[in-house]
Formats: sequence, structure tokens, C-alpha cells
Amino acid sequence: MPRSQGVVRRIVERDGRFMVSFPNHAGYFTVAAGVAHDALVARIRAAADSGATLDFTFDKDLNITDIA
Amino acid sequence: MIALVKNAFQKLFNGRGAREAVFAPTPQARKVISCDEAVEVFDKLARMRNIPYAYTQDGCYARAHLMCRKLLAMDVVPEKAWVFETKERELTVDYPNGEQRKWWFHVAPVVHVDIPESGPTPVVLDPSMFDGPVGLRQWSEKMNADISQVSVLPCGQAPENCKGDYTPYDRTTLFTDQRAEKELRDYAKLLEGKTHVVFMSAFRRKWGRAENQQEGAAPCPDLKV
Repeated sequence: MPRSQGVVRRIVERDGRFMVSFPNHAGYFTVAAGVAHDALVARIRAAADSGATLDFTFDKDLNITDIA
Repeated sequence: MIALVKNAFQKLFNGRGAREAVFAPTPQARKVISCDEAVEVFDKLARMRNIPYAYTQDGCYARAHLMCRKLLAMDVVPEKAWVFETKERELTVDYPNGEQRKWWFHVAPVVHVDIPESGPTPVVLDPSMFDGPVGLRQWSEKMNADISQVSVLPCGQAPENCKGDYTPYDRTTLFTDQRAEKELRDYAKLLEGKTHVVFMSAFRRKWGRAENQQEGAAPCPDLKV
């Protein structure tokens, strides 16, 4: 799976869907459904608040599947 | 002395000098091309084997960079069309096969085309979305954007309020070719034989030669032209 890193640029939540964008990617990412979903969302929110860089893997649909 | 060397190094590898070198046109490069040429140039770009056009989730910046480099190699001076989301209008593309893309920005090469009765007109070459060249209005409307959100800039120039001309945050350097190719190689691995779905280009139907009218990758029936 591809890996990338970046600070959170913007979080968009609409119709129960969580989306996040990063400076060096044009596409909006989502978070993969599954047991880790809520934990991943929480880490993204925390990174957005602190300005920390996220190191993450994602699938072909730009679903974030893991954060290092 | 150290500062001078550092300055020269930065200028060469990460500064204006690098961008000018990367996007330097040849003396014979044309700033305006004919409608036929625009279609032919589009088809050459669409056949670039190192660009996975069917992967539309991301990577427009890498595609745009490599296409601009190819246009320069074809002695055509390219520019880039940039469009950004706003609070009022987000960039979403609803493909006819039901897939939706959501981007916060999108970028593609532009060439100036001598259109009969209109004169030189900016035309977007975006094989990830269309089966031929398109005007700025058709291009922006497909992303649910207003044409006022689009800016056409010379290659190497960052859009307003942006740091970069490769992505909005990254400048072109002498290493950008390799970076773009690697990013697109990674995305190509995610395609899994995916069919390339694109919208129909009104420009191709109106201005392309008869033999070029039906070229391009499997266009979806899209009636808004």
C-alpha cells in the first residue's frame, strides 16, 4: 500500500462521512471502515489540532488504513 | 563565501533557475497552435505510458508536470490551469459510471489554440477527465466549479497565495521529473485493470478532423458540452 506523510490541511465532515486533505495530495482522503476507524479519526483530529505530521498508509480509494 | 555558494546551490536546484531550466521552451516552440494540432497533441499526451490516467483519485499535479514536459518536447509552450475549492464550492466530479471524486485542487496543462472567429484561446488538455481538449468553462463545470475559480499561469509560477507550482505547496526542482514518475508508478499499481472513464470533449467533435473525431479513450455519454 502507498505511504505518505503530511500535516492535516482541512477536515470535512458531511453526512456522517469524515474526509481529510493534505497539502501534497489533491484528493480528499477518508478513513477505512473497521475496528480502527475511530482511533484513526481521533489521531487525525489530534494531529490537526497540534499541527503534527502524520505518516500514513492508504488504499486505492484514498482510505487511510494505518498511521505510523 | 559559504552564503554565496549556498545561494547559488539553492537557485540551481530549488529556485527560479531550476524552474526556468525545467520549463525552458526551444526557440522554435509555438505559443499558439491550430485546432487540429490541439487534438493531435492531446492524443499524444493521452498515449503517454508513464501516466495512469484512469487513476483519478489523486496525482493531477504529477500528470500535469509530465504532460507539460512532453508538450515542451513537442515544441509547444504549455501553461497550467489551476482550480481550487472554495468554502462555497467544493470540487467534485460525478463520473457517469457512478464514481465520485473530491479534490481540494486540480491542475492540468493548457495550450493556446487559434480557434476560428475567436482567436487564441486557452484550452485544457486533461486526459484523466476528457477524451479531447476542452475549454476552461467545460473543464471547470465538470468539477462543479465556477470559471472564476480557474487561473491559467505559466509553468513554474505558483498560483496566488501558494508556495508551489508543482503542488500548491511544492516548487518544481530539477528532481521533479523523477518524483512525478515515481508517484504515478505507485498509483499505476493501484489500478487493477480499471477502465478509463472520461467525458466527451465538445472541442474534439467541433474542431477535430473527421479521422480524429472518435479517437480517445472510451468516452461516456455525457451530454453537457
